[in-house]
Amino acid sequence: MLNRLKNKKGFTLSETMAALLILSLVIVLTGGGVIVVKNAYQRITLKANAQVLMSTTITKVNDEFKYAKEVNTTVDPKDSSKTYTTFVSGNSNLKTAFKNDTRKGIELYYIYGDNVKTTQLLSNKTMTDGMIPSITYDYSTSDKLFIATITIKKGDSTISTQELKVRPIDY
Amino acid sequence: MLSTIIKEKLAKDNGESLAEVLISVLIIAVGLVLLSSLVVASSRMVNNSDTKMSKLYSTQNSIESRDSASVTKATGSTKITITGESSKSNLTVNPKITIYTDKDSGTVSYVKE
Repeated sequence: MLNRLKNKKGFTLSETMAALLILSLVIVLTGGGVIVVKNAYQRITLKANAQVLMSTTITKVNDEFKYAKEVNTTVDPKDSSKTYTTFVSGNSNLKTAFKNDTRKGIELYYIYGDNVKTTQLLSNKTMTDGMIPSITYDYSTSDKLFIATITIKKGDSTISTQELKVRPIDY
Repeated sequence: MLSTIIKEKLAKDNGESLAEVLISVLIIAVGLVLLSSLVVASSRMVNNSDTKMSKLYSTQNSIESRDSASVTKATGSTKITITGESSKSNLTVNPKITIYTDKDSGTVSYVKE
């Protein structure tokens, strides 16, 4: 071993070049493979998390619509230019509407008299990977049906969209 | 023990045999194939669950909206009678229940009229 360390003979240029070529090929192939697998993994994780988020959002929204009473159109007491489709929530017994926030996602907007209160529908920990759900909804008086569209977005790109129809039990 | 083996290996001039190299390459290749198959399998599972979820929500929507294109209303004369005893007299209730079935999935929903 000591002899090998003391040996002053090096490698020839062609040996070094060949070694470098093989090494770089191995690195490029491995690196490329790792990047492809990592991208696929991220895509799958995002899709799976989006499904979980969509399912949770639908459960929460469905719960509100199912036990809704007295559906109306209400003018926002804080901004008269805005109107909401409101309903009396079976959970809180308050006049409620769904509102969208670009950072907090879907919010429950409680209107009582001239006062309003906003609560996040889903906690921040539920909205993983920077995904934000949003909702558009309406109530069809003739069909007695809430028709909502829930969209999950990450930045500007839409990850998934789902239509939801709910018939309130008591209304 | 391990350090002695490494020292001996370094002191020797001969390298790995072709068989050793081939076996190690084979082990690495098998590992990589297994890892990539995990990714492919999970991708397939996510896609399958996506399809199932969409079908479930679409069925739920059809049932909720009683959409005549995909939901059929059961016809028949079968009566359900609930009988019970109250403190004063026997109690018989004939609830009117309509049964809706989704054509595609066969999911059934009961609605008390």
